[in-house]
Amino acid sequence: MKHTVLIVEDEKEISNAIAIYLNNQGYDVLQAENGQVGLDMLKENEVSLAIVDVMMPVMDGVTMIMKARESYDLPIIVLSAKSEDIDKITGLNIGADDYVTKPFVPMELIARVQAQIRRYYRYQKQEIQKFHGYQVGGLELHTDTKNFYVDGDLVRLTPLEMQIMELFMKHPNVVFSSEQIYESIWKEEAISTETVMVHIRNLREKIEINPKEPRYIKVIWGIGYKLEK
Amino acid sequence: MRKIKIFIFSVIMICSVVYVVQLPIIADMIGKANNEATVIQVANQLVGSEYSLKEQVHPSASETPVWLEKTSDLELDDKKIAKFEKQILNEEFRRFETNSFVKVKAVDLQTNKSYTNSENFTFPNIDRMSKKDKEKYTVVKLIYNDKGELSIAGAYVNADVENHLTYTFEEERQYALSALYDEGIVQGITYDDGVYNDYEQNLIYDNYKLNPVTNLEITYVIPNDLTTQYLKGNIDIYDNEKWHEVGFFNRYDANSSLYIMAGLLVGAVVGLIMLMLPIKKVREIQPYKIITKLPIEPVLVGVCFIFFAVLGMLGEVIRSMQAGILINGFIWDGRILYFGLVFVLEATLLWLCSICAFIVKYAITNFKIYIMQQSLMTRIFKWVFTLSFSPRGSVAIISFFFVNLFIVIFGISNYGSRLGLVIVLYVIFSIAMIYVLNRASINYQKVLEQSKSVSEGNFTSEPLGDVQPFNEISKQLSTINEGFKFAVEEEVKSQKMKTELITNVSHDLKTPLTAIISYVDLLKKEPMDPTVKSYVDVLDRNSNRLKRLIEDLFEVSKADSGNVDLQLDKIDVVSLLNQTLIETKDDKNDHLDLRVTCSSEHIYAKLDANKMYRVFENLLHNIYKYALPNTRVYIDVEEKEQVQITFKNISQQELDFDANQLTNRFVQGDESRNQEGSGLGLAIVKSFVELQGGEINITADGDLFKVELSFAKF
Repeated sequence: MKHTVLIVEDEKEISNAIAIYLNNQGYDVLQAENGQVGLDMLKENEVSLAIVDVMMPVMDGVTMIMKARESYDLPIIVLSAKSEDIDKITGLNIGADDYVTKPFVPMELIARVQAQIRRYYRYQKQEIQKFHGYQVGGLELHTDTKNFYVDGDLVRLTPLEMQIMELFMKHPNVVFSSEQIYESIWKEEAISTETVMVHIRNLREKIEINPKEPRYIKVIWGIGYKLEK
Repeated sequence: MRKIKIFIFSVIMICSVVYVVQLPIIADMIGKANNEATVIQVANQLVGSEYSLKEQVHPSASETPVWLEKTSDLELDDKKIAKFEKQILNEEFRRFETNSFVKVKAVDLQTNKSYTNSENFTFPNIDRMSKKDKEKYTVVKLIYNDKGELSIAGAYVNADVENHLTYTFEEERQYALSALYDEGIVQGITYDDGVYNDYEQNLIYDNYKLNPVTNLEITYVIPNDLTTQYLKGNIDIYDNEKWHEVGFFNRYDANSSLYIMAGLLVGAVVGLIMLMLPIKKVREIQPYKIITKLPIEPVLVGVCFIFFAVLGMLGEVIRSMQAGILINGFIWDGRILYFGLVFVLEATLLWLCSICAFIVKYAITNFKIYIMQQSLMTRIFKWVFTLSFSPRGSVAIISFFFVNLFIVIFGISNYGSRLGLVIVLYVIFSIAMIYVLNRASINYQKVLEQSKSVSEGNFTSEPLGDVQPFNEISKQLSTINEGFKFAVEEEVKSQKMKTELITNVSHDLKTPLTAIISYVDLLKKEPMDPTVKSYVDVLDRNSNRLKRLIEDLFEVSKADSGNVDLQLDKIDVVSLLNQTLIETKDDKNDHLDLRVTCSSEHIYAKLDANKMYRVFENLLHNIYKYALPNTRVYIDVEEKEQVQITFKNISQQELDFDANQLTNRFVQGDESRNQEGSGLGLAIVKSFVELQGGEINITADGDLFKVELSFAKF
């Protein structure tokens, strides 16, 4: 099935560039130059995913996303030049599924688009399918098969990584210190926590699109780590 | 201290000069202290001697003395009186027989019979005295004619002296009468009865008269050089009391006023010199600064009082010095003491002069301040005529009204019966006025408080309401409040605008960059020949570099403009450092050996975790980029009074610049700046460290590059 991606971006060149990338990846692309046009296109077309810029004339991205969320359920990726944490949180709170800051590396954006689409339509297809285990966002840990999926893709984890992931997924949004993680996995007093840190880093490499800007495993500096829901 | 020394020294110098100059004058005065005064004195002393001398050259025929005349019919023992009289006369005469330096010659004008106590001495002729004799002697000639009238001749004898002597001789005769009484004449009469009273003393005065001697010529020759002669001299003649009575000090008094004149003159000179001191110098030295703080009137009165007291003392000292030399023999032993005293007094005088001079000086240089503020009169005047609204001002208000009341009562006292009514009305009026003014005083305090609170930066105080008569001031003050509030709000707004500007500029830079990066990336995917590809690679590298640069610039601008929300928490620095080390592992050069030492497992400080991560990240990136391969890098975290974090590495390049300059924007270790990196790394580190209340110190010791961070412990 061919997916259609709506790009709402007032800068024509950027919009075109994203379109080229998406076309290359086999997506159909719709381009809107502001929020109002974007909403109209959403109404008239079957859109699988929207990439929305924040700062736009006529109707800005935030307004558009809020209006879109009233009647549509599609994944939305926010594109913004604002890189502050508070901007990202605002973006995610109003209903966006991901947040990419300008200037972005095109391939990262494409990867995020793919992840979102895969995840979204996988759940649509297998809505009633049940499994033993845990699910946080696009992450799935099947305790019976010991399989781990990211946005529907199977990711191979080592047994220790699996145990760490299980701890996180049992308690999403809970901050664990390196010592706590070590003691709960190794069942002994933590002497060196570096191992834990290395494992978590490797985990991030495996499950995050951009490990420098992790979506799931967040570093709480000076305290520990948490899995964000 | 130094200026005081200079001052005392200069005063002493001036005194010494004056003193040395006047010494010969004093010495001269002492030497010459024997002219008219001596004549009068000696002659005066010799009153009474004339009777003895007369007896010597012309002995009385009868037992009854010829010059003692009975004036009443009272029965007295004449014989007894005569006997005592003779006895006394002989004692008087004996003075001349002993060692007296006064040479005397008496000639009876009737018999031409003469007497002298110095047989070998040639008495100079008074009319034709040689110059030598004049220098050596003072000669007085007393001549009693046949009627007993006295005429005087001799050196230093003028009309004044003659009058004086004539008058004194009359007096002295009466005195001689009482001497007769004292020495036993009357006692002789009354002793038998054992009665001694005023009545009997008065008997002599009332019943006897002492007639002058007749037909006698007496020549006294007194050596001028009394000072030396005195030592061998006769105390009786030079009796201290007598010197005073005779008026020796008339001469001194003239000298004394001369001295006062001289003193004033010297004082004026000193004062003039002090006045001629440049004002600049005076301001620099500020001598007698204390007098500028005292009211001018008491200072002037005090100075004048001391001045004349000292002048008087000086006169007294000089007088007793002269007298002492002549009378008490303090020539050599006492002179130094006296001269010392004179010196001290004169120094005091000059010192007072200099004070006066400086009062004038201060008054001239700062007339307005000195007169308006230092003068007691001005102060009193101001106090009476100024209504103060200070808390103590009510005292002034009340006293003002009392003064007024007094004036009014004084003024209306002629109105008799209506006086009471007027006073009652005035008291009512006064009470009302005191009430009004007191209220004004209280309101003044309120307004003062308000203005104080404004001056302390409190711009939110409410207007005061009714504070007559200061309503307008209070209103203006609250307007100032609003003005300030407005200004502060403007400032806050401009801060906000600054932040928005940074955000907008950053956005405007990022948008075209996004396009560049995207299209460069697309371009890379197109088939092209190697030359073009190498060009595209340059574009790719530099657009990515530009991206980092903009991000860093944005960050450092925000930190510097102070628009950063800090989220300070209790952060474990060790754990944060370890996390950062893990997270930046990929960037690490494999040839670097990192040695991390922590003084304890957990070290806590109050920090913003995200900012601190950026600090560590930037410092580590710096080390990875600039450290010499195959060297060790030391990272120490220590907990002392503060949490101290030290990064030490060996630099790849020579550190030939000021290490602290590195925290300036866009300064990089390599001058060519062709490496990747924005040059903002250390600037961000510095901004963030300081934002979190820490300190950063960067040192380069040879090739050792050291960054020290310190934060307060949690």
